Order: sequence, then C-alpha cells, then structure tokens
Amino acid sequence: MAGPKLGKKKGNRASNAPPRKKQKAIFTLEKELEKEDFLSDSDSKDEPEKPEDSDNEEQEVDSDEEEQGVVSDEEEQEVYSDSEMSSDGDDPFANDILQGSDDEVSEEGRDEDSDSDTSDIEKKARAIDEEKAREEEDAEAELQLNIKEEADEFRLPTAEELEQEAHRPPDLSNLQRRIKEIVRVLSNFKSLRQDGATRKEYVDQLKMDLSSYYGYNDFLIEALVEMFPVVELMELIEAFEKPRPICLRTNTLKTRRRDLAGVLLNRGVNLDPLSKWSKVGLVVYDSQVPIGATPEYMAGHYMLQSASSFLPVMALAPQEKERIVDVAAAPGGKTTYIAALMKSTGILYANEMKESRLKSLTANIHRMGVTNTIVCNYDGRELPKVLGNNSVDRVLLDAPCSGTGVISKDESVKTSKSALDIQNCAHLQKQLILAAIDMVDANSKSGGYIVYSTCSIMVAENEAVIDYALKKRDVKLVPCGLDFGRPGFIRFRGHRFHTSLEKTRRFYPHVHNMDGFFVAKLKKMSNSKPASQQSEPLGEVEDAPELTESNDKNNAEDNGQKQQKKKVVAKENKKLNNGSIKFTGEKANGERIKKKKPSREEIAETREKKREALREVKRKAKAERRAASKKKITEAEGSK
Amino acid sequence: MRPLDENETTLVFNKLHKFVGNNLKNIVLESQSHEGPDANPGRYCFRLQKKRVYYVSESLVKRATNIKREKLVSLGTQIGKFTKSGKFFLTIQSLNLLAANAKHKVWLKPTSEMSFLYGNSVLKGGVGRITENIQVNDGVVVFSMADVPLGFGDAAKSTVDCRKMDPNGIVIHRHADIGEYLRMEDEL
Amino acid sequence: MGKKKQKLVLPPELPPEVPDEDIEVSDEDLQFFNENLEYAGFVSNLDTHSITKHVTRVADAKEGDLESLYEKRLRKRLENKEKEPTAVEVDPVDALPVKTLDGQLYYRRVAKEPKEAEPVSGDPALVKLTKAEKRAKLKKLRKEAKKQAKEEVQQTPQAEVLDEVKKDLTAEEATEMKKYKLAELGTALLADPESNIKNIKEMLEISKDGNSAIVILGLKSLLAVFKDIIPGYRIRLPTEKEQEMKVSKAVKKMRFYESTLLSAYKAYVQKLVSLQHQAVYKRVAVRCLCTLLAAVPHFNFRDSLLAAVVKNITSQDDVVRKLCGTAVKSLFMDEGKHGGEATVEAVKMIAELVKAHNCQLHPDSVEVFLSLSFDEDLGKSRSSDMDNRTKNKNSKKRKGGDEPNDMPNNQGKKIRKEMISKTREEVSADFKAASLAQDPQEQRRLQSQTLSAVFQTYFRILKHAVLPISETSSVPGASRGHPLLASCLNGIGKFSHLIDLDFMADLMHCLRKLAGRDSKLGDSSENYSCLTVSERLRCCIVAFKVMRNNLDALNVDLQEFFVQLYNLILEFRPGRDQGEVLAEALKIMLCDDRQHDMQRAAAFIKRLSTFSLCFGSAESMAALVTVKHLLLKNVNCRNLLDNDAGGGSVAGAIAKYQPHAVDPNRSGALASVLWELNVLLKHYHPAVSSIASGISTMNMNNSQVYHSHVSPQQAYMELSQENMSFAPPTDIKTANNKRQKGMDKLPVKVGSDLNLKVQFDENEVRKKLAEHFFLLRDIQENERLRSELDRTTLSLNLYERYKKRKKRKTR
Repeated sequence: MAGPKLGKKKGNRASNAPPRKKQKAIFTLEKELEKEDFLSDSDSKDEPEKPEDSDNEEQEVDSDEEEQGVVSDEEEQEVYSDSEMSSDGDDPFANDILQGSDDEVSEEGRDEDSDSDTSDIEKKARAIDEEKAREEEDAEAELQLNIKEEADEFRLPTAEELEQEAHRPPDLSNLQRRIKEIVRVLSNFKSLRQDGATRKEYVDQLKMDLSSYYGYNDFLIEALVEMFPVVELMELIEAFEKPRPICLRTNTLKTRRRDLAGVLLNRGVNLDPLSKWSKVGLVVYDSQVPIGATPEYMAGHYMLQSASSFLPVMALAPQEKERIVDVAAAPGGKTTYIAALMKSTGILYANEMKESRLKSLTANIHRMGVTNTIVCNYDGRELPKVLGNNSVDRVLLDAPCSGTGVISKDESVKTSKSALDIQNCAHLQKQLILAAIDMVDANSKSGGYIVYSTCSIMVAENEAVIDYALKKRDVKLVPCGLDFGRPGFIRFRGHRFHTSLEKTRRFYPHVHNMDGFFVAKLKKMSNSKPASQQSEPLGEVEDAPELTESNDKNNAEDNGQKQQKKKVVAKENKKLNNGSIKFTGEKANGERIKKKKPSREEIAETREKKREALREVKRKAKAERRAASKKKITEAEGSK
Repeated sequence: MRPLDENETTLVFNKLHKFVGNNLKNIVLESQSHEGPDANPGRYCFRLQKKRVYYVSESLVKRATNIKREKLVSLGTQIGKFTKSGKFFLTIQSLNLLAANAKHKVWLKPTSEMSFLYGNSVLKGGVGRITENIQVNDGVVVFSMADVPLGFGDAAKSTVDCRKMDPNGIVIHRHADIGEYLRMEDEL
Repeated sequence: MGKKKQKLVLPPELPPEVPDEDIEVSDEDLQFFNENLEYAGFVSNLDTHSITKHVTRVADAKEGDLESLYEKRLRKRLENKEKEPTAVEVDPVDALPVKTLDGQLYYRRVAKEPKEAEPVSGDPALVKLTKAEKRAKLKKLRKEAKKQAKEEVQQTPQAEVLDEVKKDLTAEEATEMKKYKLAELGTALLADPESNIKNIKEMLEISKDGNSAIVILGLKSLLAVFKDIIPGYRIRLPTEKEQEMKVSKAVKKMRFYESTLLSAYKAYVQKLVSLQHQAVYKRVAVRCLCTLLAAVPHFNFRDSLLAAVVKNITSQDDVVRKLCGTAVKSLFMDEGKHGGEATVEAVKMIAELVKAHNCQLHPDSVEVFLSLSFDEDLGKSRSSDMDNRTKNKNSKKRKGGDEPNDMPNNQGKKIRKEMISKTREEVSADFKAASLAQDPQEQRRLQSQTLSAVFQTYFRILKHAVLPISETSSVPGASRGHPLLASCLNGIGKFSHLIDLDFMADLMHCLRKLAGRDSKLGDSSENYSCLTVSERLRCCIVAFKVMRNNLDALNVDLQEFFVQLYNLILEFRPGRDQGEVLAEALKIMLCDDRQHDMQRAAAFIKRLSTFSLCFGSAESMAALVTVKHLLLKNVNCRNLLDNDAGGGSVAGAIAKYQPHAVDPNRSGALASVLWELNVLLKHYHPAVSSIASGISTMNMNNSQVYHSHVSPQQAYMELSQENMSFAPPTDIKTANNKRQKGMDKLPVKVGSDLNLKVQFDENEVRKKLAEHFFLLRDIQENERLRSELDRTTLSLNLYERYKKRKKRKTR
C-alpha cells in the first residue's frame, strides 16, 4: 500500500530533517522546546481526530517516539494552512517548531466538520494510548460534543447557553464534565485555553459550576478558590463530601488503651490505634454495637471525638497541678482530655457561654470521672474580670468559628456562611484571644501558654487573628509540638502576616483525613500591655493605629529586618509604658475593688499579694531590660 | 454555693452511710484531695449549689468563690440533689465515690448488664456475684464482672434470702445507673 | 440388799436354783439400784468377808474331772470354730459387701476371724485397742496361762467339801485361790456359757473382794468373759405371762441363761460405774467400760455405759480420756452394731456435757465428732422414684452438694454427680436389702438428730467464743480463751456441706466476729479474749468452706473475710503461727476462688510479695505461688509487673499505694510496682528465686503456666520439709528436680534477666528496699506496742477484779 511506503520515505526525510533545524534553533528556542514536548504529548492525544490516511503513518511514527517525524510530516501535509496561520513565519525552522501548537488549532478547526462516523476507528487508535482515563473522558466529551455539534476541545459555554441551563433543571453529569474540563484546562492554561478566553472566565465558570454542583454559596467558593490551587481545591471539596472516620479517645483516668481496645474488640467493634502521634486515640472502622452506647462508653472509659480535637490539647500540653482555662469547653471532649493529662490534679476552669450546651458538658465531665473542674457559664470575654488577669498557667481557646473546616459534619455551612459571618467570627475571636492572653500569667513557672484553635480554614479567622494578637500583646508564637500539619500562611492575597506564623499548623480533610483545623500556640512573654490598651481592658479590634501602620511600614521591608525592627518597636513602647505600669496597675485594682462585692474580700487580697509579687519581679526585670534594650537601640542606630 | 447546714449534712451523711458504711470517715475526714494547684490541696468538703450537693477539694472551693452564683454550673463531683420537698437523693455522678468505698457489692453477669443499664432492677438470675451479709434496704453498688461500676440501688433481699429466691425475683431496686448519662442527660 | 441378808443367814445351802429366784428379786431391784448406785458399791465393799467365805470353797477340785473338763472345752472350741464363720456371713455390717459384675455380693469374712483366734483376750479387730489396753490384755493372757498351769493342782468344785476346806486357808492363799478360781471359772464359762452360766455370779462375788488386785483381775476377766459370751442381740426378759405359759426345756434353759447373764451383766456394769470413782480402780473400770461399749454397744444397759464413758471423756487423766475417746469414736465408726441409736445418744450426751461445762473442756471431747460419718444418700434412697434432677436439687437444697466444691450451673459436673449418686444409690440400696438394716426413714431421723445435736454443740462453742471474757472468765480455766474452738472449727469445716441454710446467717456472723477479733486496735481495750492468728485464719477458712459448699444457690463474695486475711498477713509471724494454716488460707481463699475484683487482687499480690521478703522460704514460697495464681487469673493486675502505667492509670481513686491500708480495696496497689520480685530473685533459696523470676517474666511470655497447678499448701509442705535438710549450695539440684518441667530451663533465664534487671535499677531497688524495711520495722514496732498494751490492760483488769474481791472479803 501507499501508506507504508510514504511513511518510510517521510521517515527517512524526517530523520535527516531534525539536525540542521536543531543546530540553529537550539540557543534561541529552548523555551519553545520545552513547550514543544508539552505540546507533543497533547497533540499525540489529539491525533485520533485525524483522518485515517495520516492515521496509520501516525501510529508507526509515534510508535518509535520520533518527535520530529511528527512535526515534519505534518509540515509537508499542511503547507497552506501553515502559511495562512503561522503568525510570524520568517524562520522556517522556528516555524516548524511553532507549528506544533499551530496545527493543533488548525486540525481542530478541520475536525469540526469531520463527523461522528470516524469514532469507531478512533477507538482502535485509543487502545494503544497509554493514558486510559484521560482517553475515556475525552471520548465521551467528544461524543457529547459531536452530538451537540460542538468543538471537541472544551470551550466555555456562552451566555445564552448558561441562560438555557438556568431554566433547565441542572444537568449534573454535564456539570461534572464541565468542572473536570475546566480543571484540566486550568491545570495547563497556556496550551488548553481557547484563545480569547481569559483565566478569569474559566475560574468564574468553575465557581458557578462548583457552587451549583456541590451547593456552596458563592462567597464560600470564592474564599476556597482564593486559598487553594484548582486541583487541590477539587480534592478538598471532594473530601468535604465524605465523612471522616469515627475516632474515640481513651480516658486514661479510668482505663488504658490496650485494655479498652480489647474489651471493644470483644464487643464486635473493629478498631485500630489512631496513629503514631496519639497514645490514646482509637479509630473505629465498623461495629456491631452502637459505639456510643456500650457500657464502657457509659462508664466513661472513652469519649467519641474527632481526631482533630486531640490536636489543640496536645499542643496545650497541660501539666499536673496547673491552673488551666478552657474558654469554650462544650461538649467537653477537649476539657476531659486536658483533665486526663492533668491526672485530675490542679484546677481546670471549663467555661461555656451557651446554657444549652452546659448539660452535655457537665454530664461528660462527670461521666469521665473528672473531679478537678469548675464549670462556669460566662462570655469568654468576661473571664479575665472573673478569674483575674495573669491568674492561670495555660488557656485553651477553641474559638467559636464559622465551621468551614467541618463542612463534612454539617452541610449547612456551605450555604449559611457569608462574609459578614466570617467578619463577626473574626471580631469575636480577636476579643477572645486578647482576653485569653490577659488571663495567662507570663511568670508562671510551668506554663504561660495560650493555644488558639478553630475548626475553620478561613485565614481571616486564623492567621489574621493570631497576627492581631501578636501585635496587641507581648506574646510570641512557639511550635505547637505537632510534627505534622501544614504551616500557616505567612502572606495571603493582599496582606502579609508575621513570619513566625509558619509555626502555626493547618490541617485539611484531603491531606490529613481529619476535619479542617487550625492550631496556634502562643507563649506570653510579659504581663505588660501596650499603653493604648490601658483604657479598655478588652482589646477593641478597630483601633491601635500606630501599631498597624508600623506594621505596614514593616511590610515594605524584607522579613529579617522587619522582625528585628518590630522587636525594637515592641521594646520601645514597652519602655514607654513601663513607667506607667505601676500606676495603671493600681488604677486597675481601683476599679476592680469598686466592682468587687463585699463577699470577695479574701480573693482581692490574694490577688493583691500576687500582684505585689509580680511587681517585685518586674522591677527587678525592668532594670536589666532597660540596659539590654538601650544597648540594642544603640547598636541599631550604629547599624543605620 | 454554700456549705451544708446541720440537717442537710445529716441527710447527706445518712444516705452516704447507707452505701459506704464506715468508709464514710474515709470520705469525710481522712480524705486527702489531690485536686487544686496548691501544694497541699486540703481535704474534700461538701458544698450546696442550686439544690445540688458537690463533693469538692477545698482548694477548688476557694477558687470557685469568685464566680457568680448564677454563673457557677458545677464544681468537683456532684453527688446528689435536694428535691423541692427537701429530700436528698444520690445521683449517678456519685457512683465513682460510692464504688471506691462500697460496703456491699453485686456483680452482674455480662448478659444482664444491658438490661440494668436500661433502667431495670437486678434480678437474681443476673447476679454473678454478691457480697455476703447484705441486709434488706442496704445500699448496694452494682458492678459488671469486669469490675466496672454500673450503678447503685438498695437491696430488696438479704444475701441469705437470695439463696432461696427464684431466678427472676428482684434482688436490687435500681436507684441510678450509668445509662442515665445517655437516657436523661438533661435531668442530671 | 435383801438378798444379801438372806445369804448371810443361811450360808450353807447354795442350791443351783438360787440364781433363779434371785433373778426375780433382782429384777424388781433394778430401778432401785439404778437410782442409787453408790449404795450397791457401798454394800459390795461392806461384806466382802462373808462373801469370800463361801465363794472360796469352790477353790479345790479333783484331777479326774479336770481332764474331762479340758477335752470338753477343746471340743467346744472346735465346734465354736466351725459354728462361728457361718454366723459371720449373715452379719455383714463390718464392711460394705463387694458386688461382682454378675451382681451377687461377697461379704468379708476376715472381719470376725480374729475374735475366734483367741477368745479370752477379746478381739482386737472389732475394738480398736489403745496401747494401754493391749498391754493389759497381754498381761491378762500371761496370767491366764499361769493359772492354767496351776490348775493341774486343783480340783473341780464340789459343794459338800467346800465348807471345811476353806476354813483353813490363810488370807494370801485365799487370794491365790481366788486368782485361780477366777481364771478357772472364766475358762469354764468361755468353754460352755449355757451350762455353767452361774459361774458368772461367783466371779462377780470374787471381784467384790477387798483386795484391789483381785478386784482388778476379776473385773478384767469378767470383761473378757462378757465380751465373748454376750449374744448379738438385745435380751428381753420374759414377762409374767410368758413365765406362766408352758415352754419347752430348751427354751426354759435359754431363758434361765439369759436372765442370769443379764443380771450379772447389770451388776457388773453397776460395779464398774461405782468403782470408777475410786482412784485405784478408775483406769481399770474405765477401760472395761470402754471396751464393753466398743464391743457390745447393742446390748442392754448401753446408756449407763455411755453415761460413764462420756463423763470421763474430758477427765484430766489423758489415758482415761484417750480410752473414752477411742471408745466413742469406735461407736461412731461402726454404727452397724447398734444402728445409730448409740451415736445419737452419745452425741447428745456430749452436747449436754459441753453445755454443762460452759465449753471449758478438753478439746478431745469435741474432737470425737470428727469421726462421725453421715450418709448423704439417705435422702435420695427415699425419693428414688423421682427423676434424678429434682432429686439432686432437693437433696442439694437439704444438704449442700456432694462434692465439696461443685460449681453451680456446671452441667458436666452435675451429670457426673448424678452418675455417682445413682451408682452409690444402687449399692446402698441392695446393701440395705442384703443387710437387715432398718428403713432409711429411721436412719435419716437418727442422722438428723445427731446432726442437730452436733451443730448445736458447735454453735454453742462458737457463741461462747464470741462472748467477751468478762462473762466467761467466771469459769475457772478461761484464762486461755477457748480450748474447744479449734476442733470446733475443724468440725464445722468438715461437715460444712451439711449445715442448714438457716443456720448459715448467724454462723457466718459468729465467724466474722471471731475473725475480726483484734483486727482493730480498739478491741484490745475492751477485754475480748484475743484469738491467735492461726485461729482467726481458721475462722476465715471455715467461712470459705461453708460458703463454697453451699455456693450452688448463688456466688457470694466474702469481702470482710478477705479484709481479715489481708490484715492477718500483716500480723503473721513465721515462728509463732503455723505456716500451713496460712498456706491453706491462701489456697482456699485466693487460689480456689473464681474471680476477685481487680483492686483487691492487686492489693493481695502486692502485700504477699512484700511479705514474702520477710517470711521464711516456705511461707514465701506459698505466698509467691498464690501471687502467681492471682496474676494468672486476673490479667489487669499484670501491669504491676511493667514499670510504666501504660499511658493510663487504672489505680482509680487512690493515687498512690498505701501499704498501711486496712481495706484491700482502698490500698490502691495498682499504682505500685512489684519491685519485690527483683529482690526475691536474689533469694538464697533457689526455688523461691526461680518462681520469683517466673512471675516477673510472666508478662513477656504468658504461655508458660508451669507451677500454677501447685497449690500453696503443697509448695509450703515441700519446702518446709526440704528446709529440714537445706544447705544452699547442695540444694540446687534437689530444688530443680522438685520443680516442674520448664523450671529446669528456667535458671538460665533467671541469670540473664536477673543481672540485666539489676544493672537497670540497682540503686532504685536499694532505695525502695531501704524505705520498705523502714516500713516493716515500724509495722513490727506497732505489733509489739499493741501486744504490750493488751497485756497491761489485761493485767489491770485482773488487778481490778482482784481488788474488788478483796474488798468483798474484808467486808
């Protein structure tokens, strides 16, 4: 037959064609070369759409992976099209190479009139292609297209099509296909985009489709898209669709994991140790008995709680005989874990604002046999007033949040949350974290830590809040003691955060197979507050201008300097208000005494004593701090 | 939150004594608490808060005083409630305390655990083991065969009579069982 | 006495008829005599003179008749010989018959042979002879022989010559004569009871002699005679009517014989009873009584015999006591002879005795109960028509299970038990058929009476023991607590499965009180008589036996006794208290019990291993074996073996181990670690160190459960014996081959993990050991102070009482 002969001839010619081309092109066109093989695989993918005469040659050619062969024979087939289409065709070899991309387009152009009868032969061709999956979806995509007399290459639906869709009930399969396509296109945009279509169009379309397919509201999708590259976004959203595995935590106050596992296995519960990072966790695969109603559960031998809720407590690392506050305690999973780690010594304030959740909180606490808790029902922001500033060793603030990390648990989040909600949450969280920091005693021997955690993945509720706290109080981030999880964002969209924020940890369903979660551990360096805070003990979020703008200044500079500089700033305003601390302290007492009921005399006294002690310490500390800071400043000036 | 007054104390102690007998003095006097951050947390004591009686380390009590009465939900271990009519009864939360000091015990066969946890009384058939010298109306703590405390109640029959009973006669009338944590979380 | 007078007025004619009417008279006199025996004694002592006068005339005889006498006797004996065995076979009570496969029964013949072997010296087979008795018998035999030798010189009695012959005999001759006479009469009697039955009377007369030697001799020979000639049935004297009616010669003869025998026997018994009050004759009399009781319990006048014997069962003289004890025991042993009535009477009497003396008796008096035997299948035989299940049930309801430790709802055992009981039934059934035993109802009645009496006694003793001294001390000899308690406890232990459930409650109550004695310091101030540790251990043991044997109803957990044991281990002193009791207690309370609650088990493990440091090797061996049992049984306690809490504390409420805790449940032992094992690894005794290492390695490889089947008792025994000849260097191999398999490959392991452990926590161990011994020291200190306190308070009380008395005296 003619086919093979031709093929051979072409093959020979092809064989001598490349060298000269290469010699010339090699320096100028490295970029294109890379792009070239990019394209090549993409066009090998598109070959099936060719007419059969070129088809079998095609096969033998790319059976021996001769890149240039492809190019060359195409070149001589499509001289005209070349000439028409090649944009700037002075250098033929450059052309040759560029043609790869061009003839894609042209072929597709031509294929538009090639109709569906060719498809069976294409199937044969497909059989030898190595990427099956990709092939498959192409096939159906192409079928669809053919039916609709559309271009096989994906192109965004036009406005009127969307119009029609809006009227029709949503065609899910179609949506899914389109989502896949868009993701594919976005994955290598340059090559796959249809010309004229901007990335934004694709993304918008994707958002639309996702929100309509998975039922998110636009805001949430928007936020997610901002946070993740498209592919990962898809994984995340898919992960949100399926539930996390059931986890339970052994109550070490009552039993040991080994024993508990034994008992439950006997009850027909199929379980395994959670993972290497937890000594008390068990993960349940399936169970004949309701895992939440076994005698062991009732006897408080274990607690059903998600794996993510272990993390903040492990980060908090409570010690025995400490004073610890759990600001938002219900339903008590974390609280009882803390108590267990404290071996039920020390004291644990479990605060919960919602009356409705108090019952379950107390019930769990008693069920788990925890005896060292005081359960109280305050708004977390009032706690410093109640328990006193600088009065406890550690605080766990598992802040109330938008819950965007636990969509798999409650679908409503997909639609209910709006930008406003996030704002409110963030605002509340900022107040809470300041309150939490105020409670902690920086001079505590064993402690002085604050752990902030949310089950949200919104940056505004996590990094932003921590960053705010870093500015508002003399605290610094310390490693969470969790060897896994992703570091928090240092810069996100417009704004940049303090670099130490990479010490915070983010957890994602699609990565760690646990709820979306954020943990940050802060160490309180000193009990002092910026002067601006003196007027209102609860940090109001809006003001504190000088710090923010100084921060803006910092953003301009690069990190290393910024850090040092910031330190200096902090030092300075510390020095400033050091002078006024004593006075302010007294003032604080004054108002507190005013507030105080007669019944609370003795506490006031104890607090008084404590404060006295602290002041002593501070006075000592102050001296050398002054000296140190002075030295620093002089150095800084020296360096400038 | 306040200490118990004279007759409240007697009420509570009588109830406790019914279950723990002479161990009551371990509970009240010789109890060295380990809760509380202080080096020496002091002893345990009884406090009344919103009709509920709590068994708390003194150092916790000291720290709980600066929490408003209406804001204080619970502290230490709740052991019982006073009814409107001023009667006192032990609630399930006191189980740990009782179990540690129990004078009379009954061990349930695994088969009958569940029925007990659904709030039924203990039948003779379900009894795996029973301490001797139980008199009628003594307070008895109910364990599973694995020594997991399940609840408590009072004896319907003395140990001696139990021998003669038929297997589905009631041995113990249930007061409370840990199933209540699930069944009636809100009443606790 | 009327008869005596009559004799006195006309001595010369003593016609053979005299006994006849004599019987009649004496019969009326019987009650009178029984009312005041001492009269009879007094009388008999009074006119020995006149009696001897005309008794001794029988003394001389002619050779001619002698030979004839001899051969006659020989013949008699021969035919006796061939007569006897036939008699034996129908009387199978001596031993259960053997039933062959083809279903016919063979009775043991050997049982009776010895009796015939030498009739004079009674038969040792029936009456278990104590040494004393044997010696006596031998002596008598020799005497008999002597007499026989002498008799050549003598002639058979001839009434007409007697009078003048006796005139010229001096006193000592007389005694000699009497001896001969006795012997000769005796032999004659034995030869042919029927014909010369009246000789008995004469013998009686002789034994009334003033000379003690003679009397003793007389008694003994009479004993021999009676034992031999008394028939196997109870003699009923013919009523007047029967006297009137005409009877054949043989019958008349028989009646005469019987009546004579009876009267003589009565006289003899009365004599014995009276004599036993005189120091001289006491032992002899008692021995005779005992032998009679043992030999012929079925015969008339048993109750008087019993009364005498039981009275003596608690005498200070141990020979006497032993005699009586054995007699009563033998009575209990073979009830076949008297069908149980004797047992009942005896037991009742003893009960009375105990009651009368307010429990201040010699232990032997209660010891005898132990030899009682109760046939548990009596009840079943009655209800043999009912199907087995119900039968088993109600029989169990009535009297515990058959095996001491039969578990409830254990089918296999039940079935096996049914099999056993059924077979046992059959056997007993056709045994009864074969033996002409009375119907089971009757037997059961007797048994229940006996039982009730026995337990009544036991409970009385217990109750008495429970009372504080202040009340008992009025009784003399109450100084050292309760003599009967030990044997009483043993008894209860033995018959625990027969106790009625209704008693159970207060029985347990008593036991609890007793076991609890002295466990609190408070008690010593009140003047309770303090029991020794071993006694209190016994109480616990008994309590457990009782419970276990009545477990089938429901599984009762004897918490308080565990508490007692827990504290007793603390008070136990290897030297002072018997280790075997401790071992038994450990075995019964800790090893046999099915399950414990974790806390308690841990507490015991901890305490035992702690104290096995200061026990002797035997005790510590027992302790360690127990520890091993416990560890094997409840796995949760294994974390006493590994050092970390395993990521969680199961110690519960109690955060740290409190070695002084009184209640095992409160000791929080689970919070501690068994560091003692490491020390014990260096124990000088290889056995101990090896088992210690075995325990400490138990966690690693649970597969090896060697030694777990050895009970603490066995362990204790084998070591305590071994300790007699214990030389550490040489002992290794003996110890090793003593150990079970797996042991011999052990020492290697010991070595290895020993020195590795040592290098691990050498200093830690040293530290802990130091504090531990501080602990031990002050525990011992407490003990000493406590005992001192007791002593002082006691003496103070005594002094108080004494002063009071003095005051009273002075007034």
